[in-house]
Amino acid sequence: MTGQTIAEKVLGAHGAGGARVSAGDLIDARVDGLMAINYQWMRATYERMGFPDGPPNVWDPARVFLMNEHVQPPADVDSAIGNYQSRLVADRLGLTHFYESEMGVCHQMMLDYGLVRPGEFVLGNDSHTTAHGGINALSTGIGADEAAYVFAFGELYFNVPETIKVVLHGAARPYPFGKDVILYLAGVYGDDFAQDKAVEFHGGFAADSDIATRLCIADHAVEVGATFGIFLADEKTRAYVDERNAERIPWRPVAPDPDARYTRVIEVDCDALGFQVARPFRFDNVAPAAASAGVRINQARIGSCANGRFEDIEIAARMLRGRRVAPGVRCYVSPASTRVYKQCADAGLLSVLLEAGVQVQDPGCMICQTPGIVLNEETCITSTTRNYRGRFGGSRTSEAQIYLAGPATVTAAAIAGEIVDPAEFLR
Amino acid sequence: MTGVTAMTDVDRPITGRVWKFGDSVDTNQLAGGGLTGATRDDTLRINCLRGLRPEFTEGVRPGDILVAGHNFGCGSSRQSAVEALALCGICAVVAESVARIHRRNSIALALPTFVAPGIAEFADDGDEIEVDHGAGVVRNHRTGGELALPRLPDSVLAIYRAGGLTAVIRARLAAAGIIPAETS
Repeated sequence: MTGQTIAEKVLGAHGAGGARVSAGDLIDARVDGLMAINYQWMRATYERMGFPDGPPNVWDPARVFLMNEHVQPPADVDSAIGNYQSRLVADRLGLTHFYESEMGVCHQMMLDYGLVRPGEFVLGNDSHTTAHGGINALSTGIGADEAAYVFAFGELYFNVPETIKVVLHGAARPYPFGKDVILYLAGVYGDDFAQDKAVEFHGGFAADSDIATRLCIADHAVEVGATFGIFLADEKTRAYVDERNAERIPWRPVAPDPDARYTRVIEVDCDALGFQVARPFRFDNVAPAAASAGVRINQARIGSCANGRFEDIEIAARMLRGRRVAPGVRCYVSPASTRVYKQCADAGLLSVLLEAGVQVQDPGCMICQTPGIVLNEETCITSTTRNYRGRFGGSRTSEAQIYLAGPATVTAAAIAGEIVDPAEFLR
Repeated sequence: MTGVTAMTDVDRPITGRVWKFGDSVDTNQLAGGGLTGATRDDTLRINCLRGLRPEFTEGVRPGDILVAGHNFGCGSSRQSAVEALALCGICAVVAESVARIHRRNSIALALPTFVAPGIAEFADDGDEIEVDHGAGVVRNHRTGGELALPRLPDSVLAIYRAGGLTAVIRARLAAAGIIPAETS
């Protein structure tokens, strides 16, 4: 009997009777937690189902985490109504973890409040729920109807995926470099190379990297099609999780067997990589930053579940200290959560950013969509999650040029007014 | 589904006119906002695929079929991406591959969505094709060609036949005594 991958182990432990499973099996998997965000999206599901007042039951009031974080504060009446209705639902069903009006990105709030731990199987109705693989949890995104199913029953049908082993060789950098690594992978192997598969990230770079870097790469696993993107747990993971695990819920990390079966092994020498940029409008339209050098920008954005953590904002402040955002450039920075926001404030980063001409925005998911419209005549470089056509303005702005890069590259562009290799600002 | 429904029984052949798109059509193209409609559904309909093909919204007719390349529906978990297609009248999607969440959302909302390797070469804009899941084939009425159509798993077919995932939820809640049994 061959060994098992992380996905096989976790899904097996969450299937019927904890029986051993293998890639290709279709199972009903019990979840450890459901992140349910933005009730207004789920409201449509419940209305269609004939429950205008919301879900008639909850599988476990302590393990459904209801958050209204995508629209904080609500800018329109429908959003406000959604938030209001969510409060009624949370009260009626006695939900233990309800965040009615806190600003932040759901995935970072899950971490900040210790709602997800290594070895767990967690689902959420946002595609970047893969992020928690950065702390060795098996987690992924689902739609609203499926979230309603999990809300009611605590389980969902799942294919046990094959696993790709990505071995990241090299040493961690003294600045955020996770975006560059995942962009490089997408550029070489395509934006669906891991479609319907799990990806395990191994190697010296993975072990050497901080949790923020791992979270960034796992977050973006969905951008290469992966169902799960997961790192091993180590002492850094333990320290990060235990600091936030307020309820002291026990957890056990999961590692693959030495003879686990992988469908593919990819090796990357991260030491040999430079800064990467994805050009419009695909995640895999990637080239070294120098290939886009000289492209004038109107807007620069730093934030999101991918790159809105303290380390991402710290590098922006480090580069901007004593410098200014170029004239004509709108530079937005949004911390990923209230906790991260406070961390930045305590470290004095916010005043550096403000003095440099940055617009510091509220924590939350808005940095990754709108407001902050980019017009058809304009160009933006962003460290958020996607550079899709019309990402920052919809179908009326489908020609707006959006480049995707890590926070160092975005900050360098904000200073220079054009895309540059950030290496010169880091010396 | 709210608004106009284009749900079609997966057990019967679906015949329609093709709109063809390339690889990695993302959810921002399907449901990314932009123009403001009179209602939520109207907003979804008038912006669907407009950024890629401005003529789509005006030209699409109920019963049309969308053909796409690899990684169709990549991106967000937004279920409105499926709703938008249905609101435009699209009654089936056939793609080289469909991104995982979008494929699951299509099943949940019972919009017939199939993966058929070779479809991008097999059908062109304006062709009339017949998607015959029961027979496991796609027929191109213009060229006379046939393309193998892999069968959906039985568990997925069961969700389609129930009319979508919310119907499955209702039935299970009723079976558990949480809501009254359906009277039909």
